Amino acid sequence: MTLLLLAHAAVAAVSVIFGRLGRRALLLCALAPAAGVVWLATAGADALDGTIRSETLEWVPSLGLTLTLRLDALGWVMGMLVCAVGVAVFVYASRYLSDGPRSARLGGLLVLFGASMLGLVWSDQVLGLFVFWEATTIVSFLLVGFTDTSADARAAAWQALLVTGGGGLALLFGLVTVGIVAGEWSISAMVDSPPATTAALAAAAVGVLGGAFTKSAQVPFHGWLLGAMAAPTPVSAYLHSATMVTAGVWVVIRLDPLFSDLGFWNPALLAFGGATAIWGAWRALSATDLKRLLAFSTISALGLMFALVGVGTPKALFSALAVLVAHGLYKAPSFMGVGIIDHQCGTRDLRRIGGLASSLPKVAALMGVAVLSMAAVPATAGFVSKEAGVVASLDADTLAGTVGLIVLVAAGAMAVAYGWRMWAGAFLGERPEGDRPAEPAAAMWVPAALLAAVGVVFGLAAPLWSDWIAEAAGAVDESAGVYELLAWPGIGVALGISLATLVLGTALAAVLQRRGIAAPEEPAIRFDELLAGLFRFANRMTRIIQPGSLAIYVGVVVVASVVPGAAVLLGGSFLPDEAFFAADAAQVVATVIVLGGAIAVAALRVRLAAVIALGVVGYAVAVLFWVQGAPDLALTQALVETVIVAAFVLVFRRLPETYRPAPGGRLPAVARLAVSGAVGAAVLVMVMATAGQLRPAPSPVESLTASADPVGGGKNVVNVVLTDVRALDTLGEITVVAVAAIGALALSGLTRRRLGATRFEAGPRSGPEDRNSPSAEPMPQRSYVLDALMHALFPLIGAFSLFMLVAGHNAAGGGFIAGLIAAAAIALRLLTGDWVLPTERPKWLQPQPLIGGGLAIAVATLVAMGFIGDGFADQQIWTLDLPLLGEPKLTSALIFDIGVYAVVAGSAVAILDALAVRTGPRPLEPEADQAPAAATRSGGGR
Amino acid sequence: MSWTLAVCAAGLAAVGTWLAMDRTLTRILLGLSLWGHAAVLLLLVAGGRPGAAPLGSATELAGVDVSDPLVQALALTAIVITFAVTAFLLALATRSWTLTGDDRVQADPEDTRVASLQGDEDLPDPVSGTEDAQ
Repeated sequence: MTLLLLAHAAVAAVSVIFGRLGRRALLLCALAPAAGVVWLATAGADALDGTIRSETLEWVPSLGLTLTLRLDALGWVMGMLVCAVGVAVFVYASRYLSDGPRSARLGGLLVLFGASMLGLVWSDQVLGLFVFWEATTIVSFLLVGFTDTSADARAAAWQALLVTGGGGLALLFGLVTVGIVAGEWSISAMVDSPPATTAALAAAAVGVLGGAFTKSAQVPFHGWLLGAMAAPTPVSAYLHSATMVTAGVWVVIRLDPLFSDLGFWNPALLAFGGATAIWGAWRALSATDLKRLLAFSTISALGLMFALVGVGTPKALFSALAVLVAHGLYKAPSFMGVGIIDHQCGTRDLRRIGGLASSLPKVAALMGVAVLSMAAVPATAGFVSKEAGVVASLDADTLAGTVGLIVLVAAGAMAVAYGWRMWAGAFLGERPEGDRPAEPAAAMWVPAALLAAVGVVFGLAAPLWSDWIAEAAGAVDESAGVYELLAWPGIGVALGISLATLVLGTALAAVLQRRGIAAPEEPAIRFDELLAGLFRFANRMTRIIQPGSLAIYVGVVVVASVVPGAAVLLGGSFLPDEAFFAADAAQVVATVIVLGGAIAVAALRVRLAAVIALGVVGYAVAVLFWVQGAPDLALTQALVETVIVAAFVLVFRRLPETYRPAPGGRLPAVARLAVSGAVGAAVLVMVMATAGQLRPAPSPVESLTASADPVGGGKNVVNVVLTDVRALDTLGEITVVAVAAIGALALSGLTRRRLGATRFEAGPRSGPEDRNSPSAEPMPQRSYVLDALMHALFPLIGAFSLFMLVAGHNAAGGGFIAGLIAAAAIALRLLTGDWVLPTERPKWLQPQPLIGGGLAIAVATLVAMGFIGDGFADQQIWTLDLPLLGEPKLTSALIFDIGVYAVVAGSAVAILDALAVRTGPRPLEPEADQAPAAATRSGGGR
Repeated sequence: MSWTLAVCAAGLAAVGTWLAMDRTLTRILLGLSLWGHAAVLLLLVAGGRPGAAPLGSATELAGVDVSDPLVQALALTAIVITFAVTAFLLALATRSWTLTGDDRVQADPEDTRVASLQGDEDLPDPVSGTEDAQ
């Protein structure tokens, strides 16, 4: 089965790629469904025997997600219908379409259409089913809108996509819900042990019905199927008879055992199906466009199928399947016949054609046979199937059965009338002026005639297919497997009702012949108005949540992402297992400083003061880390804070001293306060819910501390985790740091290309300025004492950073910390006015080589370990024998850490460089009303 | 769980959000820095009770109540990445200041235009995707 689907995909690809095959590609395409027919024919005996063939492709095994294809009797019957009709449609289309690459493309899409439908009817896994379901939706969108130069076709394609896609979402909801309720994702397993009827199952049923009714064009969702006739006729023939619209009926039949115990399931099917059957038939009576007439007839027939399932007995389900197959056998040739008329006459409007029987006798004959089946005249498949429906409705002996019977008679009588109207209107009567249409090519009428002939054969020899339908129904409901289709039911009530329907229909046809019949009005709500309303609504929403103000966006995003999560946690048990006020007094003191500092950051209007407050917060947070027992974190935090404060200072000395008042469009303070408070509360709930609960059992702490030294060769467990256990993650993280640093460099204009091209001069520049060339900010009043001190300290700090790097595997320290120390050393030189421009520094202290070299070392170490050790990033420990130093252990993690060191140091230096250098012209002079605030910066350096 | 740490993280997040809703780019950055602290504290509290520093050989640490080293490793990289991203944004703010002389975030002109649309005639046609189709 999988192979067959792959073959379909391959044929589709070939057809699209070799567009120069033109319409001959359609014959190639026909090979795919033909292979399906042959394979199904050989597999038929097994499938109908009850031997089930199943193939499973693992998709996401960890989620239990598989693509399971399962061929039982129902899958066999549906597959045979799809493939057989497919072969006929492709052969027909090879002459119907004009020659050209677009026809080849249409062929490819049609193959995909058939393949999606095959995957759908063979899926045994609800999510796989959904994927194929959506595939049919998407391909139908492409097919309906195939004539993409026509606005009507595009609009119809949109409508088909939105309606069936929306139904697809409902179906997804239903399928996922039923999967959760059943605890099982395989349809066959669900059907074997149906879940109890609960409210959740009822919700799932509503979702499934929503999907089925939209896909199968039930009132009030039928509009898209009328629009879909904008597609080329072969598409309509395929879409109406075997693919797409029958999917809804199929899914309802397939899942019927799960939902039939729900009180509303059968009545809903009966109500929607019955109403649609009668409504569609009534509309078909007055349609003048033959394709439109047939579309209404399809809507009516689909409604009849739903209604029969809704009668609720196994026998009615059996008859619904028979109607489905019989419908495919007469609807496809009907469409093909109308297509031939359209092709030969240039129109398919009943008011402009007539008397075609003499010029198109073969078409008249094949369409006559199809219409007889449509009208359920004895000796046709249509009669056999509808007769089964009448018998089932009578036997049901319930109100539902009576309703089903009324629907059968009413829709059946109208089918006789519109069938006659179509055939007689096209082939009898007077021929309007114009050329005599030519006979169609054999490739066009033979496939249609064959399908129509099968309908007659099935009507005459019902036992031929009786077993198929019985077995297929039995695959859904075992008790349905015993019924049989009868070519001649014998004199009785059922036959009487069928004949009465025919008589009624003939009378109606006679009335119709003499005077037309008024068509019922379309429902008041039209699709395009609905769509326009949706867009109006979207516009209104946009106005509220997207007015252009960043502050409002931040508020919306933060509230939407944080608060619902916290609300969910609040609903559960979010109280931590153990809670205490504080670990010790230092924690309380530090927290008070942190919170006080944070408020100061927000409240202070002087920029530099706010940055100093930020530094206070950072150092206090470092104290919190220390108290918690995390010296590495505390060190890192303190160093980062030093560098970031330096960075802020470098930037802020160029900005106005205080913030300028914000222009209009501010978020009101109350709203800001409310959002901030909500976020704070949400974070509190999250902390409470997660505290101490992230540890699985057994706790990783013991295993990590126990293995760090013997396996990782280090006593600093945090460092071992960073450089060994999670080395790959660390590599990713230093890459992020490197990218951010290089980005900052690029923004400042300090790229190597520009550095090479520009001569730097410290001090204010004169003359016309190059917007993009970097220049140093003037650095007044250098302190010689500080200079001398920094010159002396620099090598000391550098050496200390190297010590922290080497020692870091066994004591507090490591590549991150040591790298930040090295950067701090350079920052000190920078702040004293030395080395302001990167070109003044030794080459090896420039950021680019440090970052690049560091990343190269880190990657090379991990890869090399893959060759030396047991796998990628596998740790190695070498014991060295040095004369004076004893036997220090050298680990591969240390080499990796050297890479981390270089990247972090290089990135920090790059960031400082980028912020210290001023690029381009001086800022534009601020507007006059803000001059006082801006005056502070025009006074030159501080 | 230490109530003190929990309140600390929550407070930092609240003040950070307040600042993030400002117009001035540098103040937004200060807010992000505070948010970074809150996130790291959240990680740390998730690690459980405080304990001894995870430094020492397996035998030295056996039986000692050690603080969670995994959480610390996660937090350490988080700090460094927050630093790098903050610095990048700072460079962005500098650039904006250099070019425009203003470090305040302007209202998005396109969004403002959309928000000011009154009638539906200005809306793009949903089917053709062009504005002049209607």
